Amino acid sequence: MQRLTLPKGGKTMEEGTVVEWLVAEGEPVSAGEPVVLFESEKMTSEITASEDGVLLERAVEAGETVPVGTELGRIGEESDGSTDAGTVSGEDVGTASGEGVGTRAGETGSDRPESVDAGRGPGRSGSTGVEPDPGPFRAAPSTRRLAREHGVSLSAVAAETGARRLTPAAVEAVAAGSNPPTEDGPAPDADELVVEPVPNPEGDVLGSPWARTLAANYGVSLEAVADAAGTDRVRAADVTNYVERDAGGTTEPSATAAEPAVESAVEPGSDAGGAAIERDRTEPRVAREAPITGARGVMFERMGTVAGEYASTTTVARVDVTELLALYNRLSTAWGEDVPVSLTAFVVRAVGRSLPDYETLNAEVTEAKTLRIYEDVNVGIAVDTDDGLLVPTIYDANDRTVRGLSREVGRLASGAREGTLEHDDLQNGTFTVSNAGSLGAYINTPQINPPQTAVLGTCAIVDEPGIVDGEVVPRKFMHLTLTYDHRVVEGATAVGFLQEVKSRLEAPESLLS
Amino acid sequence: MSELTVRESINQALAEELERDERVFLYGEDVADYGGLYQVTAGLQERFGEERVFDTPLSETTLGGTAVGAALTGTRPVVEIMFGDFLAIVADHLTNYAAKMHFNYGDGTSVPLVVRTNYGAGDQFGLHHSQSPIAWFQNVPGIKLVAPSTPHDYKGLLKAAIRDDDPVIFLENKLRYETEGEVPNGGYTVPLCRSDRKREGEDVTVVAIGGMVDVALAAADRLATEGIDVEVIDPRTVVPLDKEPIFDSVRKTHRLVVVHEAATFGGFGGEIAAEVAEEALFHLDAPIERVGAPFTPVPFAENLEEAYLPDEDDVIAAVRNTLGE
Repeated sequence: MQRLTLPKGGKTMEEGTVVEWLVAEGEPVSAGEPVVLFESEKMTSEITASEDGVLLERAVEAGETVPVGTELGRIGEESDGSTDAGTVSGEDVGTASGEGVGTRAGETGSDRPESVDAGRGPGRSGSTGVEPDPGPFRAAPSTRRLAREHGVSLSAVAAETGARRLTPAAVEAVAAGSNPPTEDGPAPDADELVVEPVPNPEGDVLGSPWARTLAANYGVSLEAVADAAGTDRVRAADVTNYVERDAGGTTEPSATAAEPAVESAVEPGSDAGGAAIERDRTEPRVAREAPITGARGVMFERMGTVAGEYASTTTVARVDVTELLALYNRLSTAWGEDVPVSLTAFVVRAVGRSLPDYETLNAEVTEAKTLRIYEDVNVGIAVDTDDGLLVPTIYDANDRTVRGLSREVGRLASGAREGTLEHDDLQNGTFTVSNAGSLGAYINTPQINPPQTAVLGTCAIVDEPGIVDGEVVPRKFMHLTLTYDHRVVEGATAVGFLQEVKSRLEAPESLLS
Repeated sequence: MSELTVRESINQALAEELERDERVFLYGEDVADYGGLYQVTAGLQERFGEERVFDTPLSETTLGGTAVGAALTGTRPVVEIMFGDFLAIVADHLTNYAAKMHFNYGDGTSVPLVVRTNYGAGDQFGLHHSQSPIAWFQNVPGIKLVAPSTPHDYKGLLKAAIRDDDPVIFLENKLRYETEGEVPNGGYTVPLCRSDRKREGEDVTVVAIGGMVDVALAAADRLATEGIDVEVIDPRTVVPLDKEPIFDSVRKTHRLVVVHEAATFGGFGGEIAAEVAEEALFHLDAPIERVGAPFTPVPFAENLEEAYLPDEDDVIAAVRNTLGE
């Protein structure tokens, strides 16, 4: 059933006068058809049916002036109303409508959702006539601005001048001659008006694109926001304020159309913010949605492959790096700024010397499902950059000294961050070392860089008690984590390799030879 | 790190590239013996000799033609055009030859030349020596346009421009040769075609070009005292433009102000505004604001020139407009 209520046609409109009923009670109407003309602020507008049905009741007769929100009549199936429209008599109508005005006018406040809906009706569906409607009046932005400045509605200018293309001069003329719309004069005689449906009784509310986007997402009408904010230029902040503070009882029906519980939102006992809170519970608001591209796209594909196809298994060793750090400090002093010593270089050195004995770890699984063992040991080092994770390659890592590796690690790391690496620097790796320790990870399980078969992670160096010669003493420890593809690498191989790397790092002098 | 002026950082970049690559050489009007009108190339001829750093007659046409020819033979000429205004004379060589040859021959031909020049008003040099010529070339595919803002970027981008295989017009703001800033010791480059977020903020995105980055940052500092949080993006390379960071920023702040020194009409700001309108219109909460010069030649008189140049107050007013204040 559709309740025909007097819509709020503009910010200053408080009441309106029914000019003419276009449909008799009991007469069928179809959706889009004009049903009643009303007049306010010198403008005549129409209310159209939003559904097929029968005009069940006229609650307000032509000539009567009533407040905004008053129910003017109802449209529905014949069985909807208590009145039998087919056999209605004049006396019955008179009685029914008399009651209707008295009671429904008092309910205006609680009936706002309906009134907003009706308010949208005339503008949107008014142009569905058979012959092409020449459309609303036209006005350049400068004319519209002038009208706003003078507080003159463009519709009024159109009505008074009879022109479709409105000029600044016409606005000036009407502004000079017209009374301010807020004055309480007698309602003008309907005969003096140009009775032509005026398409936009809501006035020109402007909304920024982002405000419109937000309003659509929240399912609130821009006009309602404009009214609540007291502006005719709606910004995003007006929409969010409206939703957070004002939306409670005035949310548009369309937002909750699927739920029959509109009424319950305004039942005694439910607070005004109920509807907004309800929405938060059901729909998380989306802050942002972005395509997965670039370095993140590569990560997406590769980690998907690893998760779907690899039998990734991780083994962990705790390494006493007290002596390694002492050696590191000695070398830092000795080598000076020319070659910044790198702990990663020691790890790569230990890996390079150990890998040849554990060949399934320096390998890849080919697309033909063969295991390709590499002779060269090219160790990739994972570097975090602004553009995502890069893994530049140290070629022939097993043939390089700690000093040479330090220099190479420095070159690749700064090249990765500055984006100056060559193409060759970023491919041909056969094994990867990943350092999550610099970010503070106590134990981190790295993921294999496909199509390789293993990756070694180095974790944070921490002060912990250790036992030396039966005494508990402070020592420095670091965890090494080896993730390997258990489809092609035996557990014993992985653990054996990790233990060998551990013992080399715990006797760091041996790595210098 | 050391504290260098823009002039020193450009001089270092040139010296390092001359040192690094024997194909690099440098010439132009008064660049050698005199050391350049703004002393940017001071000392380079002494250090690298007359074969690598030399003066030329007053003929920009010759400078352009010889640079294109030299680049085609495999060298990497760096040419100085004394004022950006004179790019109009050398434009034929740049737009019709340097920019086109890679596309014309389809055989991998490249024209790796760099044209260094200065631009901008503020020195009372009048209408023939104060223009900002970015818009003259922004519509020419094949030329890269670089306009840095900090000593760090000037050095790193000039080195990258010299190593780049395409023709690059490298624009130096003549008012800011004395601007100081931190520059890393040793060789580094700043990649071309990557914009840089010079200040992070939540409320309004300001995209500023070249010398206007300083102005935008100063405006942002003043606005911050009122709780207005401005994000400043410096494209650094104007063409080809690194657009995504700008879109991302607008999607965050919903407001855009574009600032450059040239006239707003037909200027680069219009191009950024159009790109944002295409990609992020429905994220905008306010009309885009452009800050630039009026559509008139740069005035001679000091007071008029001051009024002509966009300043902090202009940026602040534009930011306020986007906030609906």
